[in-house]
Amino acid sequence: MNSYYKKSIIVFGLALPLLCMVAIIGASLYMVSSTEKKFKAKSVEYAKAKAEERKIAQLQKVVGATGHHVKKWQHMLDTETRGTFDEHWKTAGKNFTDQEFTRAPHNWVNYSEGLGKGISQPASQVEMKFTGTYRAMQLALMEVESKLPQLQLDSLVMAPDSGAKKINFTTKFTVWTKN
Amino acid sequence: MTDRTKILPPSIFLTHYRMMTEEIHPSKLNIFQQYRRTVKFASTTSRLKNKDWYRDALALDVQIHCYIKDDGGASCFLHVVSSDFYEQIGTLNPSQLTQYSELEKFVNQTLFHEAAKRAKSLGIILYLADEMSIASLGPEHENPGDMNGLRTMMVDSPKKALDDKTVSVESHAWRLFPYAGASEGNEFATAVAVSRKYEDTLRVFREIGEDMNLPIMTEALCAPLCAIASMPWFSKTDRNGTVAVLNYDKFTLLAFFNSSFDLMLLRYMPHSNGAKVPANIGPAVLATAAAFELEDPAIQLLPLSGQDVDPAIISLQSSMMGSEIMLVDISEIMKKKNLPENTPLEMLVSTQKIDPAICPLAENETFSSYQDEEWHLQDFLAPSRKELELHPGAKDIKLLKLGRRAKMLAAVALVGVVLYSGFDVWKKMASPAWLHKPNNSASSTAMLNEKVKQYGHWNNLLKGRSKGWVSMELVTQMIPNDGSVILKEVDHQVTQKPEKDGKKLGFKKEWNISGLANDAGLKYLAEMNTRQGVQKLFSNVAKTTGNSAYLPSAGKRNITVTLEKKNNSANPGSKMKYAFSMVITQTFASTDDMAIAGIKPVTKKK
Repeated sequence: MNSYYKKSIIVFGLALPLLCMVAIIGASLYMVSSTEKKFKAKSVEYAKAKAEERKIAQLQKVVGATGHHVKKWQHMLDTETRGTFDEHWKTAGKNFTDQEFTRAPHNWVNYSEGLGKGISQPASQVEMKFTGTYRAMQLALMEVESKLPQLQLDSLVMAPDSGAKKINFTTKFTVWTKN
Repeated sequence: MTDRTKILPPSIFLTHYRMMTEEIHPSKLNIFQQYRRTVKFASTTSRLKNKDWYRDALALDVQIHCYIKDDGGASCFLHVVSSDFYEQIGTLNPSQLTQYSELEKFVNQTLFHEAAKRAKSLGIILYLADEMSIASLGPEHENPGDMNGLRTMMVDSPKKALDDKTVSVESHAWRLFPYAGASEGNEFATAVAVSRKYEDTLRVFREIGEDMNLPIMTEALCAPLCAIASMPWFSKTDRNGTVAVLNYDKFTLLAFFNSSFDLMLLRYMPHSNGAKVPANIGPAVLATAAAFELEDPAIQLLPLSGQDVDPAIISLQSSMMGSEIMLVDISEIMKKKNLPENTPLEMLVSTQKIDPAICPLAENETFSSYQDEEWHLQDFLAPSRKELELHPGAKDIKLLKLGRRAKMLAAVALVGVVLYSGFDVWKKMASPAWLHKPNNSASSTAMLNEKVKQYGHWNNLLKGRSKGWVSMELVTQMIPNDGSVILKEVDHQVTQKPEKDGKKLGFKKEWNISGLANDAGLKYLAEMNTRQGVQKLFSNVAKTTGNSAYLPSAGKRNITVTLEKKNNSANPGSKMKYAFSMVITQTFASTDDMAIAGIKPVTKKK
């Protein structure tokens, strides 16, 4: 017997609903897949951002810990001149008598032939001669070099002063200057 | 009024409603309307849940067997298969058989019978014993092997199969009935017809079932065929063959069996002029038996309508003097089967299974074919093709059910996928990664990097790699306090020591020291002139001054020392017998922490 209903049941009762469901499932899976794709991209971006944040935090920590040094150095470079350099020596010399410590005029050149040679940071070189006791010279050097860390000793020649109990000191320093 | 009848709307309304909405043949509907009808049909009837809608009446648990023996109506018997229950429940007169309301009332009464209370369906089986006819097949149908094709042809287009092309197919329903015992050259089957006058009664029963949403399945059986099929219950083979005389109210059917009790021929004999037996039955049996060469066959007389058959016995005795004539006591047979009195013999074959161990005849060709192919249970008044096509069939409902299950599974999968997808998407969209809004931190990073770089730059340049006062401390510590060494001159030079491909600039510190010493001093200096001695000196300086440039083993640095001595030729008598010169060298590799950073890039001259 011919069934007039079979085709309609297959079409409307089975095929179409299943097709619709398959379409919805497909759309859902596509949405999941698409979201997954976006999520992966966003996760990568997020991970990068987090890494960047951590890096910035680390940098901020470093900068926080070192900033005051840089500030101090910067101030030093901004304020120290050949004139103030001379003042520092004068101040150091005040602790000693002329017998203990005598300073000759300094000889400046606007470049460094010592440790500053070939370095991108500008530097000057200063040659200084002193006459005095070993102890006074060492203390004066300690005072000035502690105040001015930009001084890098290129040479120090010590020789006895002729006919006296003093020592002649000849020094050369590379002095880092600001850009 | 009972509960069941209370909820039933007026039957006439239901009939009208059905006619208005569902009587349109599905071929006139478009595919969507066909589907809507199927869905409505499935949702408003119990067809999806109750498989009895698609079973035969005789396969249902609760059955009403209506026996129509004459024009006086039907005697009705209730049979419940599961409880093996039989009971005569009344009669339906000819008027009741034609009225919807009376039949509906009858159905309701039956359903409220104690034995049928739990009925979820009702089978109505009509035994048509009031009239029948038989006819020969057309001469073109001589192939017994095509019995199934012929059976179908007899149902669909009987005129094609019959010899007499003038028979009515409108007023009579035709079915094929085989002669398993027919010898070659004789008829192998015959056509049996019953009147269609009870077709409407059965249709109304089915409509009542539709209205009640209760499967009422109908079947119309030809009573004489059932009676023939019942013969193994009480018969045995006879070497001379057997003639069964089935006596009904209006006709007598003669069935001729061979010595194996296989049916060879049916012969229909009407009762004329209100007689209860056909005239000249004896000569008729004699003539036919002679034609089949049955000499003195056993004769079984079955008074199926309960009438007096003495005239027939007399006629048979006079014609068949050598034959044993047996009057079958039907009430005794039914009594042995514990069936109610007056239960028709025909019900035996339609309601009970025969045991071949007790009734060996059931296994012969004739009766085994009845059991296998149910020739005697053919529905003469089956629903028309048009009526069957109106509603979705069993396969359609099965397909619809399958579709619903598939949809249910798919819906569960869909809900699962949608929930999973939704949750997954929600989870992702609510995550910090999704909600994160990118900001341009590059400038901050660059600025901070610049600051860090600036710190690194100055931290490197300002390292205490070369300090005068520390250098003097080295000289101080290398001279013993006891005056055993006197210095003449100290020349300390710090020079660059570039390395190929070095990222930073290494350097070298050198102390050229000359002076005088006595033996103790020289010994002291000699101790200094060793790797351990000079490293100890540098370590002490680093410790005293806190200047890490003098740490001997830190970073990539190296310390060497050389000592030269000679006699103090300038002052030979002095305590200071020796003049010495010592060279101490400390080198810093480009990879040492103290190496100078920021080498100016070299530009090649063009």
